[in-house]
Parts: sequence; C-alpha cells; structure tokens
Amino acid sequence: MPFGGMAPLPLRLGTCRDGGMAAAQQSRLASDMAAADRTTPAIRLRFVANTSTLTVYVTSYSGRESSDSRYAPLVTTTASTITIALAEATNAAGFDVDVASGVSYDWIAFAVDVTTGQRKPITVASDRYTLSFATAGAGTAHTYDLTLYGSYSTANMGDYGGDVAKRDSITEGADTFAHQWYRMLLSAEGSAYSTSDSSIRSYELKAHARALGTAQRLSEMLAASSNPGTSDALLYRWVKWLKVQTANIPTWRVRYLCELRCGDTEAPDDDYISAGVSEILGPVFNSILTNLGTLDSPPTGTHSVDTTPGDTLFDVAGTGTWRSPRANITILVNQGSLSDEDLVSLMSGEVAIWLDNNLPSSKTWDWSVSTLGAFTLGTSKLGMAAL
Amino acid sequence: MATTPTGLPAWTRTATAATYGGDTGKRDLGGIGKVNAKTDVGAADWLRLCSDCARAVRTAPLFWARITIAYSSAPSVTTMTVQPMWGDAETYAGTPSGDYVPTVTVSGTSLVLAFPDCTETVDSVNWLVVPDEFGVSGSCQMMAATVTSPGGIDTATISSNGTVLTIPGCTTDGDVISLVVF
Repeated sequence: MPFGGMAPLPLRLGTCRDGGMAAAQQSRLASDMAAADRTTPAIRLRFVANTSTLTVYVTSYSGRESSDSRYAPLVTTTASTITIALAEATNAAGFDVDVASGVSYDWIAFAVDVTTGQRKPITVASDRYTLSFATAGAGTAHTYDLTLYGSYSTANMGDYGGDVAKRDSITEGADTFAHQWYRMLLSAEGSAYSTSDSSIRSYELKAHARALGTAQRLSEMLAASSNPGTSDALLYRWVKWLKVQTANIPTWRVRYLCELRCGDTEAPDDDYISAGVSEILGPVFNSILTNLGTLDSPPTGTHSVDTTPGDTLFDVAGTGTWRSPRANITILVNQGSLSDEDLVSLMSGEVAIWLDNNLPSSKTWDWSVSTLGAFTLGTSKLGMAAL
Repeated sequence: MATTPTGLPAWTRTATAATYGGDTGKRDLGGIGKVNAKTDVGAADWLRLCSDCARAVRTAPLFWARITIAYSSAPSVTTMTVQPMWGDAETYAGTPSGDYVPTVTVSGTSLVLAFPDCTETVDSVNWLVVPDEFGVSGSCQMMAATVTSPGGIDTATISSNGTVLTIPGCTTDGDVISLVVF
C-alpha cells in the first residue's frame, strides 16, 4: 500500500519501492491498537483543591475524548472531602460514562496528593459515577492527580480494519491504478507539454489518472462483491441472504461466517473435506477418519434407510435401496488450551455449517459415542442432493 | 488462510514504528503528496500513526482489575473484573473461564493472583505466554503494580519471576481493590 496523491483511500495493502504497507504489518497494527486501547487510562486529571476557599482549579486534563479541560469531570471540595462526578450530565460532550442509557462501565481510579505524595483511598458511591476521597485537611491547598481506567470501549482489531485473513492486494499493492495511469499518460504525451511536476498540465494528468484509477477500482470492487469473503460494500446483502447473525460480532468474523455459509463449488472429495475442516479448526484439528461403506452395508452408525438405523423417510426407492455409497466421518481434534465453550462453538457452529454446505449432510452429532475422545458426524443424507 | 502479522503482540513491548510499516524511509508514491486531503493518506501521516501506536503499546498496562472482597475468617473474592490487553474484560468470582486471566487464591489474609494456565518456564525463568487474535504468542512478565482501596490496601508485591502477584492485608469486609499492573 503506497501513500500519497496517487494512492487515494481506500489504502491497498502491499509493499512497493516507496515502502508501502503489507497485510502482515496492518494486521499487527490493528491488533496492537486494540490491545493498547483496552488498558490505557480513560482520563488523567490534575487539579488544585483549596479547602480554605473551597475552590477547585483544574490545571491539566487528558481524556480519551479530548485534552480540553472544559471536558474534565466536575470536581468539588469541602474542608474534608473531594468529590468527582463522572456523570455525563456534568461534562456536556465529555467523558463517556453513559448515565442516560443506563450502561454501567467497570472502572477503577487512583488519586494521589501530589503535595504530600500520599495516595488517597477512593470511595465509590452507589451510583458508580461519583467518587470521593479525603482532603489533606481544612485550610490547605493541595495538588492532586487522578487517573481513571475503565471499560471505555470494547476495542477490537476489526475496528481498525483488522482481519485474520487480511492479505496483500495483487492488483494495487505494489503500484496503484492511478499511478499506473499517470505514468502511461505522461509517457503518451512525451514532451508535447511541460513535463514539470508542478505544471498545470501535470495536475490535469493527475486528475485524469485518479479518475481512471477509481473507475478501475470499481470494476474490481464489483468482482470482489460477488463473494462474501471479499465483499465489503455488499456485505450487508450477503448477511441478509445467508441469514448470518451479526450482533456483537466483528465485521471480519461476519464476513467469515458468510463465506462458510456460501456453498463452495469444488467437488467435496476426502482431501477437500479434510483441508476445509483443517482450515476452520486450525491447530485444534488433528485428522479425519473416513469410514466409507457400500450400498448394501453402510458403516455402523450411519443413519439412512430402514435397513440400517434411520428413518424410512430417507428410503429412496421404497425397497430399502440406497443409491449411493454411505459413509460417516470422525473428526479428531486436540482441544489443547481451547475452552469447552470455544470448542463447541467451533464444532457445532462453523464446522457444522461448512460440512452441511459441502457434503451435504443432516447434522447428526454425537459427542459421547466415540471411544476415541472425539465425536461422530453421521451423514445420513449423503448423496440425497445429487439424486 | 490466516495472516501471520509482523512482529510480536503488544504485551511483549517490542514494537517499533517499522513493525507496522512505519520505517523512516517511507515516502509518497511517485513523490506525489496528498492531492485531496479528504481521500488521501500521506506517508507522513502514516509514520506518525505507526510511531504513536508503538509508543502506546510500550507503556499501556498489562491489565487492570477491580476486586471486591468479603472477609470473615479469611478473605474471599466476591466479584473480580479484569481488563487485559489481550482480550475483552471478564467478570468472575475467582475461577476464570479462560486461560489468560488470573486465578485468585487466598493465602492467610492475602490474595494471590496467578496465571497457572499460561505460565511457561524457559531456562528457569517464568513467563506469561499469551497469543493474539492471529495465534502469535508473546511473552511478558508483570513488572509493577499500583493498588488502592478504601480499606487502606496500598501494597502489591510481584514475584521475582513476574508471574504471581500478592495483595496482603485483605481484611476489610466489602473492600473494593483497584489494581493496575504494568
């Protein structure tokens, strides 16, 4: 992703002679930005409280939303107690503690009497938005520092365009369309006009190049939108068509779920199924055991026609005949440090969706029957869609 | 196929601007600066973003926690909210559901926070090893802690190997401990 006038937004990932930015670098940036955002302080405030005149002066303020001291929390003092109100009502467009919506943010605060160097134990009122601590005593003016950490946001790398499958652009990563057009236009004109980079003609060519580059981007965008895995502008339509849940799910994961639900066109042979499940499960994946039967003797555990365990509904010809080989597969996984919740989500969610699209199969899950410490996916409808 | 990001996760404190593509030789494509300020990002803009992100991850806390304790004959944790660098905030009573937030045990009148499921020993040195969203693991240690509570708790000690934190004197029923660990 080059930068500058010949690389207008959106930025395209890749490296080039001018440096650029690769997908791997953007991924690290998005991940680290989210990591830092989660734990950095929400506000830092320094003020002078005079317990004689009962006045407070904010001397410096630095908050997530602004460094303007007008947005600092309201600080008041009595002879014995300093009170700080974090409620939004007292801060106009200030600190984002949303009292009106009733959203409760977890937060912690530290206060230090700078004049004496003493840390001040803080009491939090039951409303969760008012904190207070003892002054150094009546008739004194002391400087205090307050630092507040809070669940100010639920930072996610998706907020910064991060995606676990981000990759370099093969079309513009090294050289943008606009720049390619600019060079072509310059070359075509030769010395017919001024070749000075600051001439009027040069700016005309830049404008032409950017317009042509934008048009070229549009055609690529249309092609990308035909697949939910690469669509951005039309992702909302893919979500609607594929009925993917999006609540509290980062965009990159919504895109991934859409891609899983979108039927693949490749013939689902053993290698393809194994590779697909492996990609979804990542390091959790161990192997797939395929137990392929015959028409007359399906493998044990295959639920199909009434001559084997299963429902007569699937009896194709009414005589117990089955028209295609039957099989079941056993997916072996290494749970490792993955929580039970995450493992179930993977297996019963993403793996199930993908297998159902690619085999297809009716999802007959059994987590307990296997003596291998794995689970069995029964494929009772295997072949039905092809008949 | 998942991307493998450059560098290591934020908590290793190893990032530089170059980790994010912000090397000092970065320049605008073709030497042409921003044509339209509303649509373009210049190399100088990008360098500042990368540089500031690197600075932020070097000094951001590893995690902050809010711990509410009960005390009768010994302290116990009633609720604990932890916000680590590496994931969403989690609230629990002592035993977390994931591997990457601290467990809390009681030792006399002290609370002991540890990460038993992600502590690894390399050459006799203990490290907290935590993966990022891409599965890239990074090692870190707790270096410093700041703690306070209305009940007067103001001390937390970190073990020499940086993987266990102890908060002594937890004897005030209903006390709420605020903890930040760097």
